[in-house]
Amino acid sequence: MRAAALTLAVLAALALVPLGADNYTLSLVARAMIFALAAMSLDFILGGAGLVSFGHAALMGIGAYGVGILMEEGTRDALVAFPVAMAAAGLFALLTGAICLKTRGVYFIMITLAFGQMAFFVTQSLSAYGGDDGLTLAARSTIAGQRWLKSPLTFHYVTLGLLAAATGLCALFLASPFGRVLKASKENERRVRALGIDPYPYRLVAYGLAGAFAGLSGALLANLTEFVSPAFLSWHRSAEIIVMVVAGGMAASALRAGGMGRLGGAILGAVGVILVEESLSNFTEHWRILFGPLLVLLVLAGGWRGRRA
Amino acid sequence: MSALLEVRGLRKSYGALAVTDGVDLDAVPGEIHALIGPNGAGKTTLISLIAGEVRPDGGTIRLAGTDVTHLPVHRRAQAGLARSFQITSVVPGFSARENVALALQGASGPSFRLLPMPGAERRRGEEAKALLARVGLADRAERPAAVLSHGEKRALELAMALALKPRLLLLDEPMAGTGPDEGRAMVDLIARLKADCAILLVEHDMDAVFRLADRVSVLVAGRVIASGAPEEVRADPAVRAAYLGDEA
Repeated sequence: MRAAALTLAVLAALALVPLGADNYTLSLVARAMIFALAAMSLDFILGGAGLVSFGHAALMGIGAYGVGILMEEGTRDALVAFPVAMAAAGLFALLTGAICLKTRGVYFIMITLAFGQMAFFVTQSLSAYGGDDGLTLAARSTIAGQRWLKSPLTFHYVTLGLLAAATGLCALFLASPFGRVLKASKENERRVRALGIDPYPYRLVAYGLAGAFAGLSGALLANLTEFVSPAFLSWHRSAEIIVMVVAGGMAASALRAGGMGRLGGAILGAVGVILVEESLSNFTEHWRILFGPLLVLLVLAGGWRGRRA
Repeated sequence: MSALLEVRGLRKSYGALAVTDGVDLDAVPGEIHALIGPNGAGKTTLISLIAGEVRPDGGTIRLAGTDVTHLPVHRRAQAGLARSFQITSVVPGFSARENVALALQGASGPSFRLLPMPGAERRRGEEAKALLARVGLADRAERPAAVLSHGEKRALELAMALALKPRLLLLDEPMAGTGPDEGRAMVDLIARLKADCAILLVEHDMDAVFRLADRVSVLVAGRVIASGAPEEVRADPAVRAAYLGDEA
């Protein structure tokens, strides 16, 4: 109950942001919501199914490049570009996941990282699309021919709408019999096998879905920045998304409102990390010196309250 | 009646140690076959071999006439083999009802419906509650499995095994760690189950074994040294020397 309330509260707060925000703040919050979508999709497999994927930025980047490359080739409409971005990232997740999911634990982390780096180097070598320098978009995507995404206000609500819809869908997936197998396999895989269920295909489908939603977040990010580059796929960014999921999950469990795998925490974590990063970097360029201890405190608080719950 | 489970010449070694050394074993529908033996005799390895968690070095395992020797765990479960674990194994974060619902999903085969189906889920919930009632956990359905008592977890495991409508039930020390009352309830429950399936029971509690078993096999150092009706086995001098001692 409280986990759902947390999700709704964060989404409602995001819906109210435009009431008192300038364009700079709107673009900052849009960035936060885009990373919230990516973090939510990672939480779906990390918290929900126990799969610590270290290649999430690559999935996001594939979505971003999908929009960029299509635009370069003359397809500007989001109604085409966004589904293509989702399909491309989802397909990449399915193909690499088919191999990654044969492994467990630290091997899984390493092999997802390796595939992520492969995608990173492929984008670097795309000389037709900017290579190392990246690709500047001619404009933002149109929606059914309309230039709605140009306005910061509509961009805000389109992003929020997609974030809410994707979160709702993932929450339904986790509440279904399918989600029950995912969660049970995370807690006790041996038991699940003894009940005649092979967790592998369930995990693969979940991984593909998470890839598609990460691709959608990348498509939005390309539109926000009107630019895509190999840096979008860097492993640092994958680590940042994991930090968002873990920090958010810890914050949620400190609030007694779920934890990892309940999606709301990841959204809170992404918004929190982006906003804290922004405000700390106004003080000092060495903002990570302050961010690190904050993260430690959060994990301690979440662990302490989570144990007592 | 022909055997549901036929184990022939099963061998498994870890290095130079033969933990399973040419074991033949049958389980027949409607019968409880107890497997006893001192610690380290290889009982748990044998159960793991039959369940499919450990690959044998040689020999065959047939389930209802089909060779399952090389099938993975989940395929054997689909073929009608259900088990309880020596160390109770449930999904701790799930309620008792959800644990059984998971087992019912296992029984109905793979399903990739991503969205909740309230109708099917309600039916599954009812069925899960009926199974929980059968093992005496009717009033524990909504409790998280993690907070159930040890005996209750044992009973929950049994409910999960029953949800699979198994043809063969492997019970690995179901009495271990249960209190006297829980132990008696478990004996009664297992006695009622044998009407529905073949049961292979590994158990240390000799009272329970001799009350329940239709057949007893004695495993010592990876070999079956005696097999037969409980009274015969109890009287076998080799068994008395190797295992039962003066107690029997």
